[in-house]
Amino acid sequence: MENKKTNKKVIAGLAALALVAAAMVIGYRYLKPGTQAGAKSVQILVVSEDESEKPYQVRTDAEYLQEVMDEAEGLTYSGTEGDYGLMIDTVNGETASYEENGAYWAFYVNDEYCNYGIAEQPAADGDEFKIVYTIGE
Amino acid sequence: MEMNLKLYTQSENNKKFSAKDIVVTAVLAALLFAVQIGLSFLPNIELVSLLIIIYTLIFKEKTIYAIYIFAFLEGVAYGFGVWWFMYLYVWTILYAVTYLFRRNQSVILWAVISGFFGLSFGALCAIPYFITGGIGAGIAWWGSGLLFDVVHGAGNFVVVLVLYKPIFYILDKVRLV
Repeated sequence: MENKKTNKKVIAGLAALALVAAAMVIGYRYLKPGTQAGAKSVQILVVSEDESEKPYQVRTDAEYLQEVMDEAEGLTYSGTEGDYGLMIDTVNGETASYEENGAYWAFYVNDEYCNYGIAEQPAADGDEFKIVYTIGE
Repeated sequence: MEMNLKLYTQSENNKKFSAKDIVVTAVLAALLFAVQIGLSFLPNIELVSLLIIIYTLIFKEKTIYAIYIFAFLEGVAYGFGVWWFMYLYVWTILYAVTYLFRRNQSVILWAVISGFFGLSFGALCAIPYFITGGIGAGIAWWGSGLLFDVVHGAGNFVVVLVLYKPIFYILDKVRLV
C-alpha cells in the first residue's frame, strides 16, 4: 500500500518536472528578445579606463551584438564562458579584472544598460552600443 | 573579559557545538567549495545541490553553517557582486525544502526535488534583478537564462539519481567517525 503511494508520488513528480521543463523551453521562445534582419547601421563605442573613446561604425545584417562586434574592423575582445554566456574581460587588449580592482566591461544600448549577454543582445538599425571600462563600487 | 565564542545549535536538545562539530562543518563547507570550483567548467552541472540535500538529511542544522561558510568562500574567490546575495538564500531554500521532505526514502523523489530546484534556480536568482532593475529587467534576466535552467534541472535530476546513494553512504560514515 505504502509502495503504491510512493510510486504515485514518483510518477506525479516526474510528470510535473517534465511539464515544467517543457513549459520553460516554450517560454524561452516567447521571452527571447526579438531581432531585426536586413542591412543595418550600428555604432559601437569603446570607452577605455583612461576615458579615451574609440568608435566603430558597422554596416551589418547581424542580428545580435556579438556578431556585430565580430564584424567591427579592429575591435577585438575575449572572455570566459560562464553560466550565462560569454563574460567579456578584455576589449582591444585592455583587461578589466573584477578580482583586482572590481573592474568590468559594462555594455549599454542607446544609453540603457544591456540586460542580455552579447550573444543574445539584439542589434537594430541605428543602435548605439557602448562598451565602457567600469570600476564597481 | 574572556569572550565566549562557543556556538550553539537550534537542535531540540540544545547541544553545544563541539570542536568536532566545528571541524565537520568546516570540512562540509570546504567540500561544497571544492566541488563548485572543480565542476565550474561545466555550465550548470553541479554537485552542490546534491551535497546540500544529503548534508541536511545527515548533519541537519550544521548544514546551515556549512552553506554560509561556502557562500563566504565563494565571495572571496569570485568577488562580492550582486550574484553573491543570491547565495545567501538559494541554498538555504534548498535546505528548508529538504528538511520538509526529510522523511522521504525515494531516491527518485530526491532527484525530482533537486530537478525542480535546478529549474527554479534562475527565477530565485532573478529576485535581486527584480528589486534593482524592475520587473522588465528581472523577467529579461530570468528569460534569457531559461534554457540554462532546464539544463540545470536535468543535470540535477541525473546527478542525484546516480550519485545520491554512494555519497550518502560515504558521508554517513563521516558522521559516525
